[in-house]
Order: sequence, then structure tokens, then C-alpha cells
Amino acid sequence: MPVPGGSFTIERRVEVGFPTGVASDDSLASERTLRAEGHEEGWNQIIDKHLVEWGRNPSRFDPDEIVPPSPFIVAAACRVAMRLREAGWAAPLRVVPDGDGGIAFERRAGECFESLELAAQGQIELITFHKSKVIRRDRLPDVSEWA
Amino acid sequence: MAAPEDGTEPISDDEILYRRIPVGADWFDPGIDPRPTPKAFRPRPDDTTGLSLSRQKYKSLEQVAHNSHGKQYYVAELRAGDLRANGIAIIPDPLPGDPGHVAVSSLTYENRNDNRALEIQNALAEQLCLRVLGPFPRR
Repeated sequence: MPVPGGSFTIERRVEVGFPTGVASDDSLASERTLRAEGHEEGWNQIIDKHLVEWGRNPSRFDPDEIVPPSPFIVAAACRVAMRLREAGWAAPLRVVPDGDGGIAFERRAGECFESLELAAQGQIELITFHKSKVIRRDRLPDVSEWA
Repeated sequence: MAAPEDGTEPISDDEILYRRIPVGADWFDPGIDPRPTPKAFRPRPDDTTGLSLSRQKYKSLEQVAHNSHGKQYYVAELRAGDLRANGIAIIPDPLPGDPGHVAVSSLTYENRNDNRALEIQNALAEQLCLRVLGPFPRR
């Protein structure tokens, strides 16, 4: 299934892992292993243990500490997670609220760190770091296009 | 003559700084990763002078986490010299009743999505966090 807007970034990631040119051979090998051996189970855990739970219990986040993700953005994050699982993306390390009402899927491979960020208003951005330096910022289609 | 110990004195490189992390935000889970998410270092609306940290010389771990609402916090430990070595400026920013308050002056709520601000958040979590302790208060 094609992923919205994935003509370059996402499909290329599915093919070769990080498209940055800076990931080491080891990290790319790690990416391939993750996809081959358990990416579906990893995504299922992210969806079932976190996103579904957040959706069932929207008051679990303390509004004095963070702006909790809305039911709208939690549902959107579920859709995005399912589509990326189907597209063969390696599962993220974790999913976290961003503190501003959005949600981020985070993944580390070697010295690279990726954060797929769903903003509270529905914009999606993939930010790639290498040794904590921003090396790419890719705007993806908004959550409304991930139905 | 020694500088006064009122929170305005310079921060020495070997000073330990604390950042509290709300347990309920899911920003640290030692079962998943020994490092916190960079979101734990994302400024809040009240971080107007910069991301807030606390100086160990003025506050214990328990005092950093203390609150009157029954909430629990992890506490991330950082070393001042490590931040400076990575180009992250820190300034003493004493507040009434909180002389050990420190601000990461280049990381504010307003600029939190800029590249440099994102890099600082990432570096604090991925490279510079010495350890995360807690949660506090212990139950």
C-alpha cells in the first residue's frame, strides 16, 4: 500500500533505511534486521500499549504538566502507525507526547535519531539527526491524508 | 573576596544540574531506554528566559521533585561543563525562593522548533544526560 506523499522519502526509507548518506553500514544493517525480524510486533506494541491506551484514557496526562494529545491526534497517530507498519517501516523505539498536544514516534539507529512528529494541528514532519545535528526536515502530508 | 553564594555566582564546569521530568508524561521509561526522550528537554510556556534547570549546590534531588500536588518526577542529571563544551550556554537565573535556578538561554519556548533548539534538546537527552534518577518523591 502506498503511503501518502511517500514518493521519495518514505518509499526510499522502506527500501534502504536512512536516506541520509551518513548512517553507518552497521546502522543500516540494524535497520534491515529490525524490519525483517519484528517490525510488525514492535508497531503493534506501540499501538496497543500506548496509543490505544491513550485513546481510552485521555485524562491520563496531567494538563498542568503538558498539553495532552487530543483524541483527534491520538486517532491520527494510530492511523499513521498502522500505515507505516504495513509499509514496512522499522518500529520506533517509543511514542511520546510532545508536550504541545502532538505526538512523536522516535527511533535511533547508531548515531542517527529520527523523530516523526504529528503536531496538534495535524501537520507531520520527519526530523533526522546525526550526532544531535539536524540533517533533514521533511514535511509529510497532514494527518487528514492518512485515512 | 569570594563571590556571594546567592545564586548569582558563576556556574562552575563541575557543577551538577538537574532537570525534572514528570513521570506521567511518559518521557522516560527505563524499561525501554536508559535515556529520556528529547521531549523531556522541550521548553514549556513558562521557560521564558530559557529551559529551566536547578543547581545541585542549592537543591537536593528530593527538593527538585518536591511539589504540593502529589506528583512524581524523575530527575535528569547534567554536568555544566558538558553543556558548555557542546556550545550550550547556561546562565544563573535566581528566582525568589529558588536561588539555584539556571536557564539554558538559547532554548526558549518561542524558539523550541528551530533547528538549533531541536539540536540542543536532542543533545541533552541523547549525549549529555548523565543519568536519570527517581522517581521522587518515593512511595
